[in-house]
Amino acid sequence: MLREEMEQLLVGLVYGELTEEEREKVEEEIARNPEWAGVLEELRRTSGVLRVWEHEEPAVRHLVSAPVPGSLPRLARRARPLRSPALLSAAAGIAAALLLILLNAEVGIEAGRFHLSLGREPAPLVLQDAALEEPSDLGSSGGPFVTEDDFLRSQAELIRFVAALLSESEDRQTDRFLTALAQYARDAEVRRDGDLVFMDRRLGVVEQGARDLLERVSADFPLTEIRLRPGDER
Amino acid sequence: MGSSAGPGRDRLAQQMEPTDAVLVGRVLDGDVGAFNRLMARWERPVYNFVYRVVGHDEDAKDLVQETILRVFNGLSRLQDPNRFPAWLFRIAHNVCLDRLRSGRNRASVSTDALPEGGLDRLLAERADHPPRNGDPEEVVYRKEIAKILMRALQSLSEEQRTAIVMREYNGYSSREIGEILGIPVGTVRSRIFHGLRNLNRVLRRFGLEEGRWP
Repeated sequence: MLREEMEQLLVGLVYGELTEEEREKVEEEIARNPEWAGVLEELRRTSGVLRVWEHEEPAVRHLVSAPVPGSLPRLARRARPLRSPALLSAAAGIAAALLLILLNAEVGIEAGRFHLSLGREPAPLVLQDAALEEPSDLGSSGGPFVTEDDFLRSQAELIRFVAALLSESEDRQTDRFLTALAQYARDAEVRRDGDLVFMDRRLGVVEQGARDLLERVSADFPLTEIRLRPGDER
Repeated sequence: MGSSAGPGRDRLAQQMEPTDAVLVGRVLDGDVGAFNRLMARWERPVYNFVYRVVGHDEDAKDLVQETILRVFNGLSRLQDPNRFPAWLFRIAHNVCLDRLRSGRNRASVSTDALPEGGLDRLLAERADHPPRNGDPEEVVYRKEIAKILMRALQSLSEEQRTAIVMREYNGYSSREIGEILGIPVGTVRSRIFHGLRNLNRVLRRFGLEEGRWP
């Protein structure tokens, strides 16, 4: 086997891209020439270190229209089951926080008023009580980008969506949250142990966020007070 | 989780998540909201790609906007909406290349001193003290890791860097990367192979001890 071909196959092996036949071919070559085992280990190790660097996020979302739950970066295409059954018991809360994280949003209580912040530093957008505003038709500007007014209205739509989730009955709320969580799981791929660690860490962050959110909401702002106007329900 | 999924949930999930191809169709029918929704879905993956390729946060934000504009203007020329992601990333890559070749790139390969003890110390601390939400040290850790790995990535050629970023951070297979870049799979893997080996040498200079990590 040519050296260049072996190098390419080693990369395929590192990322699990080889057919069974190709895999056997590589393993035979490694057995013949142990030098390749060291190279393979180096490739795997370097790849593993790269994965320590998590996804960066843009400081501000430039374009926002209708809410898009589950709009995670596409990591892969394979479905995978969640590993821990214990997650189910906290799924509603986890998914609530997950949804807010996906929407790059923060919910909070200030001076007794519900507010939801969108975007991050340096220019987060904060709307207070926007959930009570009139719904609007989005994307009516006709141009490639939303206007400022459209943007603000779209945020109101988003807030209404979150409010709808919070104000629904517990069962339906759980159902929707589980759907969001299932979508998250479907969009993710676990390729190696490194990914499992990443997922665990990610879920840990989400879970903590859910606890914080639920504590704040339940302590300071009864859920029953977040209501849609009659006819606004989606 | 698998047991919790049912026909109703699947239906709901589909309602919540129209495919890219469906959204592309809506955009071509004049639905600007669908375009915004499509971009909201892809903005972050594109940013993660562009940021690591050009190595500068502000440049990356500008280039993501440039990519979005080119996508909007060229969407009617997309022949197969099912291949939207590959088409999108090809545009993002071309936008990056234009910037890199223009000489206006401000790649922020930090000249700051590396953290004491280098990468090895950071990884060891991470292993000893798993991250906790809201922990200020977690923020510092992330920044230090990002600084080191960004510096290492920027030491590679653009071709090697692009292939590695697409593989490691965007999750594309070698075949998909080849499709995006218009090059054979073997060439993609060769770029990744030499890129990873070069990175290993750089990371060792940055304090990664042999045989300990990951």
